[in-house]
Amino acid sequence: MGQAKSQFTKEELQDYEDLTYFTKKEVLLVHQKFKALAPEKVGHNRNAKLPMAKILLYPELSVNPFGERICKVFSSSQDGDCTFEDFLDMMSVFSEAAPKSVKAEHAFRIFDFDGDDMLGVSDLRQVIGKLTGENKLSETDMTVLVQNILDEADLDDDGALSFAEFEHVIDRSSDFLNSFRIRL
Amino acid sequence: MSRQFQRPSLKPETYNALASGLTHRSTGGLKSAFESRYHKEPVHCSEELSHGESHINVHVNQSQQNQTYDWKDEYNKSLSGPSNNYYEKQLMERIMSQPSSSTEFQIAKTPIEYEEILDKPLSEYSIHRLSQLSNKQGGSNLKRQFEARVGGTIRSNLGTNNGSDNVLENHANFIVSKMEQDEALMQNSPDADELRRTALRDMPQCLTVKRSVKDKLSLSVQQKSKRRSLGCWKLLKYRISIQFTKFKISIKDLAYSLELWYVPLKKIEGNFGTGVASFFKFFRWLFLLNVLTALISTCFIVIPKVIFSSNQEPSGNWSFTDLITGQGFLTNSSLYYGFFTNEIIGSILPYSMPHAYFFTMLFIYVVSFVIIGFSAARSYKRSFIETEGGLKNAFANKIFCGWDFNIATKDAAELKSKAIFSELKELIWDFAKTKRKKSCYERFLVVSVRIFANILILSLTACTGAALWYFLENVSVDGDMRVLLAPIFINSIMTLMPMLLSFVVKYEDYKDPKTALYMTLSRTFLLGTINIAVLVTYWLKNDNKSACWETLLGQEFYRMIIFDFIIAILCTALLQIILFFIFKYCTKTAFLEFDIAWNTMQIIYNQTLFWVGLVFSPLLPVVIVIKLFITWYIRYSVVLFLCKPSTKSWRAAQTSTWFLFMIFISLLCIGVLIGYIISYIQTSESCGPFNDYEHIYEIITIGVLQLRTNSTVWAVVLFVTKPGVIALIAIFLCAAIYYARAKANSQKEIVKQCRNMLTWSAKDKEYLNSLAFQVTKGQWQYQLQDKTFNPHLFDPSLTNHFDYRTGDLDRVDYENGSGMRFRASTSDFQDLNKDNSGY
Repeated sequence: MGQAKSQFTKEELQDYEDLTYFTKKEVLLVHQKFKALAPEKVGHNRNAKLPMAKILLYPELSVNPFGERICKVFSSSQDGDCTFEDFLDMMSVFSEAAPKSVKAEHAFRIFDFDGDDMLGVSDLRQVIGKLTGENKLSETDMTVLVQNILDEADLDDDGALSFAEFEHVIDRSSDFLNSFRIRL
Repeated sequence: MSRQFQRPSLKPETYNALASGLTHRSTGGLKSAFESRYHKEPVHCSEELSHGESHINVHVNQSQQNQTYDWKDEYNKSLSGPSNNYYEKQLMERIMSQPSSSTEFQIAKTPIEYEEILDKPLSEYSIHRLSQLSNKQGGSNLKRQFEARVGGTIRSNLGTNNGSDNVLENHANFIVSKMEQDEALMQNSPDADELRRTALRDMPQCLTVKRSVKDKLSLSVQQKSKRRSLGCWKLLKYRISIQFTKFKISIKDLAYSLELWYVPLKKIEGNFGTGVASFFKFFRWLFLLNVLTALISTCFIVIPKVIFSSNQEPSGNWSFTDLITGQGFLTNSSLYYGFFTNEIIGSILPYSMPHAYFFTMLFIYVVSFVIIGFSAARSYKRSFIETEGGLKNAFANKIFCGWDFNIATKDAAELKSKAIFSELKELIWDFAKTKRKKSCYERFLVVSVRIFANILILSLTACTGAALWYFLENVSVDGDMRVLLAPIFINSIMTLMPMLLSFVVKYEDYKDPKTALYMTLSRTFLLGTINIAVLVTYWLKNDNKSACWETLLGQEFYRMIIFDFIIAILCTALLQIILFFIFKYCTKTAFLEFDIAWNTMQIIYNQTLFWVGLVFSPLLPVVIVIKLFITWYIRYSVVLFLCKPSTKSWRAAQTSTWFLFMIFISLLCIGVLIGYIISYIQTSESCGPFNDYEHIYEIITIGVLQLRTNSTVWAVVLFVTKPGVIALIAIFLCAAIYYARAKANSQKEIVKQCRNMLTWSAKDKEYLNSLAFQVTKGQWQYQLQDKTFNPHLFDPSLTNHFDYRTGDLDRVDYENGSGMRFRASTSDFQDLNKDNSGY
């Protein structure tokens, strides 16, 4: 911990504490974890940009079917490579203290594969495909599933879920806060 | 069909694309109407065209001319410089600071309408002020919408320019310029500071941008604010609030570094997911509560007595069996009630033992009650009220909340995805299965099986109670075996019966596995309650048989807790190990599953025993803390080495609410029991701190208040506790509950109607679309996409008010057949729901 401490100035730490849902100690812990992903690189430059493959070494992200999407959403350059600040941001959103609205916003973007600001049929299919992994649902099952999701959540009947509609679903889910979380 | 209208959102990207003449096909036409307003002097056409559309044509020409028009720069310029087109600027800001689709906003047709829009105070849309009233209805909704739009969507186009610093910088400038509009946010006071902090923190932007925004904001705040001398009072207030914030943060820091069992919990979450972890969290929570209890009771009851008391503990010969039976040398130790006396100890500071005993116990029970009550209420609110039971969107929930992001191992991830797969299959199957009406015979069969099972279980429970009673009455009190047999008997029942119960429930054919779980839980709970009730009744009935019945009762519960540990924890752990090896030997791969429900009921039972025993045994919390500490490690290693993740997902949020409820009810029952004990049961004369009084409660009435039996206060107390008065209060409470329920139900009805309305309006939209399509032979939609549609193509009888933030027909005001005007959109609906969720 002592080593990591010397890497940040007091002001920087204060900034991080103000802008994330972490305390200073947690910020330092995040940095430790970040460093563990690529010790030599981060050792030289604490805010080094790590390629997505390195970020995906983080245990929770490595097994997560949406790992790549998460990296891309949080990467400030949008290509999945993350600096420490991006990583800290990611951990902050996934932390226990982050409110539902912030989590929902990011979840929406993670699920929005084509980036058109709507969860369309293709997005939903991709989400389901990633969730089930190796076990593939049959085409008819998939169609039924997507249709049902739209029936439930697509309130204005335009064949895709807007953010408001998505948030409406999330608001009514008691398990979202529990599941959309990564313990440090 | 409806997909033809892509809804554009307020991205600068959209504007950029428009301005630079790119063919951004997916953008709706009306966005450009807005665009043209911004770039050009508004053309307030009034005569021949329907209004908003006239600008579009203007704009198309415009945008072709200005191919390299940079929207953002222009906007920033217009913010800084004195603007000659005031309306545009205002409008622009208004739209940008507006939550996306929840506020009514229509195209202004004439200058008069401009004025109308501007009449609304700017702060009405201001997010930061809204954050103050975020708890009130609607406020949080607007806020979130704002956050989502301002930060969220703008960010997504950052990467298109390869994320050079310049882009980030520009982006930060843009946000700063927007935030500067808000006066509340820009004040130089701690409150505004805090507002800025939360606003920035909740903004879905990347951290680099946030930092830059923060620097710029604080700079601009310093520049803008005039140095006013602060009043003395205000200065003090600010100082205190700053100190308080610092204190809160440092407490958070401390709590983080002191977090108990952090690594084990993370390991469990990584390997088994949130369901199993929720049991361990519940366990930890109870453990901490008990530690608190132990600290209080030791500090205020045991330590003063042991240190200052005149009669020291008898140093009897120590034996191991005494530790298990709780007798022998322990009988006259500080573990039990009997050791404490009614003396006043301490020569300098008098410390009255009876008062200390009474008020410490009262404090412990009240604090536990309040903590558990609040936790249960909060948990209930979060998982049942705010989510309307959370059952509505079964499919969407499975998809969007299906993955457990905590999972960190490959095996667990594979199992999880298998579990999701099978659950989806099940859901689809349930859906596809035609709702076949069960025949009369089948229904009769199911109902009769259920009735039979219920009767069976109730009678079994009654039988165990009766058997226990018979056992206690008839086996002689003196025998050593009797002392051990009762706890063994009860605890064996409490360990074995739940297994039988979960076996029986399988044959009752409940459709929802959750119903089955709740049935098992409540039956187990009933069983435990009856057993404990019988035990306590026996002791209270025979209280006059012994010299110090309080100590004996304490001993009984001490033994119960010890044997609970031996049977339910040690023995089952052993059994699980044996089973594990048998399975491994026979089938190579088999693992056990961790039964969350059984384990939780077990610790709830344990906690109930503890609360009953606590009154007459001040050191019992220490015993419990030690027990729970060991139990944690046993359970933890059993889970980690012998179990595999469950193949079914566990609805952690709702079930943990149930567990909290059960523990709350058990504490409530115990409260009643203790109330009975202190007001009706005579204290023993030879021992204990209360032997001066006939009943324990008299320490208040006689000891503290010094009431005479015929005083007025006493008469009032007697009157208030009369059954008639209590019944009256109960009736009032019932009426209040009924009123609240009726209100909630009516609101549910409203929500339902609004939902229908929304669907109808969507259907109308479809219908009108198809109508327009037929009339124009597709021309209209083609041109809408091309942003050059001709307003003449619209049916003049329809009064269209497009919302150019959504660019969609979705918010058209319909004048439907009955003459009823309505307007609905997703977010209006959400607001209504918010309203409803308060009940």
